[in-house]
Amino acid sequence: MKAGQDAMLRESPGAVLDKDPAPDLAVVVRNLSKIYKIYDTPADRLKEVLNPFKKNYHRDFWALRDVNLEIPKGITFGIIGQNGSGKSTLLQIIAGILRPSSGHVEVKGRISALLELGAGFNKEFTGRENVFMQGAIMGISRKEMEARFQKIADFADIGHFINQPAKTYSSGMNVRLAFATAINVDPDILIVDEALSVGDAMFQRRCYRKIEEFQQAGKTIIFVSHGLGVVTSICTRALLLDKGKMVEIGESKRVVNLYTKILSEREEAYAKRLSGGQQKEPQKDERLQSASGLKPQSTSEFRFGSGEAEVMDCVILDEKGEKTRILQMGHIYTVRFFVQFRKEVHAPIFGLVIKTLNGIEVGGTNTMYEGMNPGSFKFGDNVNVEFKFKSPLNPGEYALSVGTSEIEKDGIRPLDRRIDLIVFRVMGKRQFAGLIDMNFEINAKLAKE
Amino acid sequence: MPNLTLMKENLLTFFYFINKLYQDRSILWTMIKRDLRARFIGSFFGFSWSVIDPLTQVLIYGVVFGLFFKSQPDPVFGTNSYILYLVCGILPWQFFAQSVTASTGSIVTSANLVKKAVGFPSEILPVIKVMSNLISHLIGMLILILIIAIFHGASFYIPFIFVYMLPTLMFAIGIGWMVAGLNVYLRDVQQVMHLVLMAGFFFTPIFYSPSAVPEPILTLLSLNPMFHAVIGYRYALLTGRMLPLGSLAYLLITSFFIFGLGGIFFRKLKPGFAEVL
Repeated sequence: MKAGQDAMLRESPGAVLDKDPAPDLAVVVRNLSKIYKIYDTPADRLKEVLNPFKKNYHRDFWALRDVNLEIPKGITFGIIGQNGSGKSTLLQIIAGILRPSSGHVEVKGRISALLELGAGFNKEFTGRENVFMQGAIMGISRKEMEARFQKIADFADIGHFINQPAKTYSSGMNVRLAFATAINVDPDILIVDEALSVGDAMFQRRCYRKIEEFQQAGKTIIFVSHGLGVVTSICTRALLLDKGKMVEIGESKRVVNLYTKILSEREEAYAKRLSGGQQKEPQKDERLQSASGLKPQSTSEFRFGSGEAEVMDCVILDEKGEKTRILQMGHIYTVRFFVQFRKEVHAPIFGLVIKTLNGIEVGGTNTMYEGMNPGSFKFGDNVNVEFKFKSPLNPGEYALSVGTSEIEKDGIRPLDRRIDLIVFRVMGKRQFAGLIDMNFEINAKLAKE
Repeated sequence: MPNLTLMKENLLTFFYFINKLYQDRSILWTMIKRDLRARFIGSFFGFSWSVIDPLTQVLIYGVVFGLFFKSQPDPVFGTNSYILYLVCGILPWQFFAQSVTASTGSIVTSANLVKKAVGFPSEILPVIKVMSNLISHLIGMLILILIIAIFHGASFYIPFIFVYMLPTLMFAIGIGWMVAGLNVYLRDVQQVMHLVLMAGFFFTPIFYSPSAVPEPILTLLSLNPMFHAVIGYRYALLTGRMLPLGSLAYLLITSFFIFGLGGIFFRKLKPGFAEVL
């Protein structure tokens, strides 16, 4: 009967565990693995059940492999990783929706969750009915829910749709109502899986304010997002998953940095693979990629030019001369690249520009604007180009483009332009509006009468 | 020799589920109301479908077996009216059969809740279907009792239908849990249940009298709890007597046992639902 009783406890999210391993932990995950059995056809599943010799008809897919995790009460915990890394599976197991293949999970407190873009709404029920149902699931009396309903409806702000069946909702409306409900049913642990990215900017801001309130109230939050900036700013600790395995767990900033590094390495490897495959194919667009074979370095890069010079090995260096892609606000950095000439060039231009990820140019310059003449170069010359700057950028992600051109009689001819070659991140604590720190001097005193 | 541990587990499960259903009563009630509304609102005849449906069946079987085959109810039931005899059997059977049919797909159609609503008690999904059928059954019974009171004469025994309704309800929930859980893994269950219920209809004394069945087969048929429930309903409504004690005991014990067994079965299957759906 022991197993049965455990099962009973697990079934209710409000269940209080009789054994208390550590009083300050909200979630404990031990040696957790999750294997999905992959069948080629549904008939294989049946064959496996019926086979008297227990023949295997499936392949194992390890969604999670030996995950160990302790989430202390009252912290905001981030889980990051690429698609298919097992983030959602882990959350579903913590929420008690999926059962682990091995290992176990202990959860202390009641969970309210937004899993995979939305709540478990009954599509036929109206929004109002769904709100009351979620309340009932969390064990909140109808009377109490009636008192809270207006607050929920106001927060969700979906107008008359609240009285329409949930099947008529857009994904944004779904998330609005789901989040509004989830935060109003007294959870001890709030799980947010990638959900907020669906909402519009204004709603997202409202949600993050609410999350802050939750943090101040000492509630535990488990947060999954691809928005790494958000993870760094709201989570104290984070876990990096890759193909179901734990890569790193610890202070969120450190984990996010590691992830950014892994991502850019992968992107480079991907680009290499792509260009390796492309070499045998004929060039599709002569205007964009010259016969000399200028290949983009990453998938986000857009490269064009005559190819009579090549921009290589572009890096951002910090003050110690170390390669970085994470910039601290107000620190000094150097963008360095090499230009190798394939013909004689008398009047080259070297330049760079920094843009936001939506393509707004924040700043940039080139040797021509600065009235500089770098000189003449002949075939085979390798030039080291450096742009030093003190970063005034507001935290966020930016893209760096560099390039070289040649001044001719009838205009400027691009030799090698590498657009959005490097994506980098800026971190910092100072707050200001806009993209760059304008270093305003503020003066405010009582005006003379 | 009955398995003692199984019986103990069964009993514990029984109380566990009764308690769980009690705890979830508010959500249960909300969803029953919603289910009733979904079934009847939007259709032109609305609630009268719960009367029209069995009435049509009674007419069809009444014409075929009463008129063509000249069937007569066994005199022990205390009525000459074949139609009355028929309707007292069809109503409890329909309650059971429609409850089971509706339960079968109840988990699959609520996949979103099972997969995403943390802490959602999926065991209530089949119960909702059974309960909402219970309500239409009660309406049907009320009308039937009025008709009996006018054309046949009501007896002191009529309230005893509840003695048979309760085990029918338990039996339906137990079977409902089993088929709803199985159907998640094997959608064929829906087709199979259709056939099983059709067979059940013919092997329960609904349009014939048990006395028409030859002996060894009669014993076999009486293993089915619904066999006793249908006769019990008739005794209470038409005859004014109780089921024989052995028969009643069998009905109560088997249906409560199936309820518990269905619960155990459902709980064993439940952890895999989210994965398969």
